[in-house]
Formats: sequence, structure tokens, C-alpha cells
Amino acid sequence: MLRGLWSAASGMAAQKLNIDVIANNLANVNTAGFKKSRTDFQDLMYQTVNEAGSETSTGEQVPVGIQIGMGTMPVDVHKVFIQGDFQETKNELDMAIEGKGFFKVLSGTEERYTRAGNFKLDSNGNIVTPNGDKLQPEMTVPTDTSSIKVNSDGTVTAFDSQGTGTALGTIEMYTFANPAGLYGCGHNLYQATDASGEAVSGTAGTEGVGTIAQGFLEVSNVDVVQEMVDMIMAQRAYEINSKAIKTADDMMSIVNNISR
Amino acid sequence: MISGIYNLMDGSLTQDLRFETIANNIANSNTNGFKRDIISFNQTLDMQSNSKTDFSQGPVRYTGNELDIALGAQGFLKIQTPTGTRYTRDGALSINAEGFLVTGSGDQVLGENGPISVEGGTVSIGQDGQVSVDNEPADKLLIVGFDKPELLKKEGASCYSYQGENKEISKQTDAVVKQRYLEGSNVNPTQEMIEMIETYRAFESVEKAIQSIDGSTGKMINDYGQVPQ
Repeated sequence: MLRGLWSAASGMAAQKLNIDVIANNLANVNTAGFKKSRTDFQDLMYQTVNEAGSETSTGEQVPVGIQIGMGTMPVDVHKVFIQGDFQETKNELDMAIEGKGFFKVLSGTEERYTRAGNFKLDSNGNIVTPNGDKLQPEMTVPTDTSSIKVNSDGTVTAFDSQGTGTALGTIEMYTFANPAGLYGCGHNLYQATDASGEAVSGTAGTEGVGTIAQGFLEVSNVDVVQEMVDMIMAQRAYEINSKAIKTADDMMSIVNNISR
Repeated sequence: MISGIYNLMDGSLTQDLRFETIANNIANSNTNGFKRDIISFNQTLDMQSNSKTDFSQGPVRYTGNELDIALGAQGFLKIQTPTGTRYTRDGALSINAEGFLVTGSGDQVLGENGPISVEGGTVSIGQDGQVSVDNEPADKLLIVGFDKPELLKKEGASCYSYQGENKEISKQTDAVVKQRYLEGSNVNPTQEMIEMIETYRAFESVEKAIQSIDGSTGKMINDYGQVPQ
């Protein structure tokens, strides 16, 4: 009975985590470039009460034994890098990536990666994220610029009021063997880990990297309907686990009251 | 009379096992590819009971994630764990840093030519289990079936090991794979709730019967033989 109690408790803990993750997804339904997370569960170890193949008292073999499971555990909470929808903003420093690539930015001295393309200019004309992290490779937009053009292959050109273009450089894209293994740093930034593999640089427009769309933003890939359904499932699973705990409690109370 | 108490104690122990199994099923009602266990009892002298796994298909839902796969009603993925070859139906796959297709716990998923490298590019998995990267065939998922599925032993972490002989494992020829879908747990909360109530009440009546035997034994010892006044 105590095993059952712990199994149900593990189920409640797991569903609580599930709700935590869903709540964060829903909170970020309007965050540009946000990628939703998903919790996956696995069963815990099993205790073999009676081994299959052992002999019964009548000399026969037990065809199937008894295994009692110990509940569930969350195995991972991973980012799901499905493409989000595109939203047209007409802002010339908004860039959406159509494909698997990431932008690289320098956050202090740390290299970080992002898919949120809502860039701005700082006072020195650098292209930066809303938090001031510089887009890599760094490029400075001249003060007399009237418009900026970003091509789908990442080349950036600044035009002055006379319409003369100056090439500022090329935005490089980075891909990962396992983007789900990236470490989320908050502020829409990710950091490479041993699980994600090293960042591989590539040119926008080449195979597997993706292209840049200027004047668009990639919106959050959270699907509200899906999250609501998952939330209902998680809540009900939580509830039924609590019923199992209640039942275990009642059964133990019966045992305690056998002899009065 | 006393032997009656022992029988009843066996009964309460088996209800106990049954409850623990139900609690585990319930805890895993949201575990991908989980198969529920059922405890059944034989009314033989030695009260032999056994647990068996219900391998019926769980609900299949769309996730949109390219590394999620759901297997059709039959078959298991073959995976390589540090402790040996295992089998699973949990299709929430990932790619590790070396670019190999792995399970959620990081164990390599085996194809017909060993571990499957899917480094870089878009992964597509066909209905027959053919894995392609950027439309270049990489390998085919090794999906196997068992002559005696009852000999599959749950190892935890959604894995099974096969306790029978290797010759009883064969390639599942009619296997169907659905990419971007996941198979959920085949635990049905309604059924588990009903069985839990049933178990609870059975447990309760066993305890009542123990009390009643205890009561009549007490009566026999204390009341019989007393000379009526």
C-alpha cells in the first residue's frame, strides 16, 4: 500500500511540473521567437514481487510474474523548435528566420543564440537586441542612413538619402545538431551545451539553415488550444492521483481499525 | 477458524498488490507509450497471482514535432542502452550532440544498420519507418515483434527487456510509423477509478471478515463453557 502511496505521490509531483511548464508556455503566447517547452514522462523502476519462470508449490512454472511499478518521473522538459507563424511588422530591423538557424548575439562576453529577430539600434548605431546585446558579426549603421535592406541571404546594406548603398556585412546563421538540448537563458536567448553540440555557422539561404525575412517577426509557437487541452489533462491526472492517495489513506485506516 | 484468518490475510495482501498496480497505472496516465498492468489471481491453493501488461494501443495525438513518432498497434523500437538491448514504444525521440537519433533518456535508437545518424537537416520518417535527412535515405527504423509478448519485462524508463529466446524476436513487417504524432498512455482513468473502488471495497470486506472471525473466536473462548447463572 505504501508503494501505491508513493506511486500516486510521484504522479502528483509529475503533473505539477507539467502544469508549471504549460503555464510558462501560456505566459509566453505573445513573446516573439518563443519556443514552447514540453514535459515527457517515463515510468519508474519496477519491483519484481514474483519472478516469471519460477516454480510454484505444485511444481509448475509461473508463466508471468508480478511486477509492481513505482510510479512516474519527468524525463525531460525540452524546447520544441517548430516554426512559429510570421507576423508582418514592416519594421526594417525586424527579421524572421524561416528554417532552423539562430542569430548569434554577444551578451556581455557570452555568446548567446536567439530566434527573436526584433532588433533595434543603439546610440552608436549598433544592431542590438531589445536588451542591448550586439548582433554578431557586429555592424554599425552610419548616422546618415535613411533605410536598411536585409537580403534573405543575410547581407545588410545601408542606403543614405541619396540612395547610395553601403554594404555593412553579412548576418551569419548558426545551427545545432540538437537544438532541444540548448540551455534557455531567458530574454529569448539560448546557450550551447554539451547536449546541443557546438554551434555550426552557415550562410542564410543554404541547405538546412534557413532564410531571413526582413520586416517580419516570428511569433511564439505556442498553440493556445493545445496548451489548454494539455492543461485539462494535467489537472485531471493530478486529481486522480490525489484520489489514489486518499484511497491508500483510507485503506491504511481500515487496517489500523481491525482490532479495537 | 484460525486458518480462515490466514486465507483472509492472503486476500488482503493480494488486494494490496492490486491497489499498488492501479496506483502505478494512474501515476503513468500521462506517460508516452505506457502500457497498463493488470493483476490477476488464480484461485489455486497457493493463491498464485500474476501481473500482466495490457499491450493495447494508447491514444495517438498530433504534436507537430518532427522527432515524435507513434507506432501502429504492433511492434517495438529496438534501442541500445548501457545495460544492453531494450525495446520501447515511447516515440518522443531526440537527437544527441553527435547527431544520432536517441530516446528521451539518451539511448540510441537502432535502425537496420545500427545507430541512425541524422545530423543536420530536416528529418523525415516514412510510414514504413524509413528515416531520411533532407530527402537522403539514412536508415530504416528497426521495429520488432515478439512471439511471446508476455515475456517482456518492464525495466522502467519506458523500456522492456525480452526474457525469451532471441529466435522469438522478429522484424515486424506490418509496422506503421506516424511521424509528428505520439502515442499516449493506454491507462483509462475511468476504468482505473472503478477498479480502485472495487479494490478498496474488497479490502474493506476482507478486514470486516477478519473482525468477524476474531469476534466469534473471542466469543468461543470467553463465553462457551461458562455456566449459565
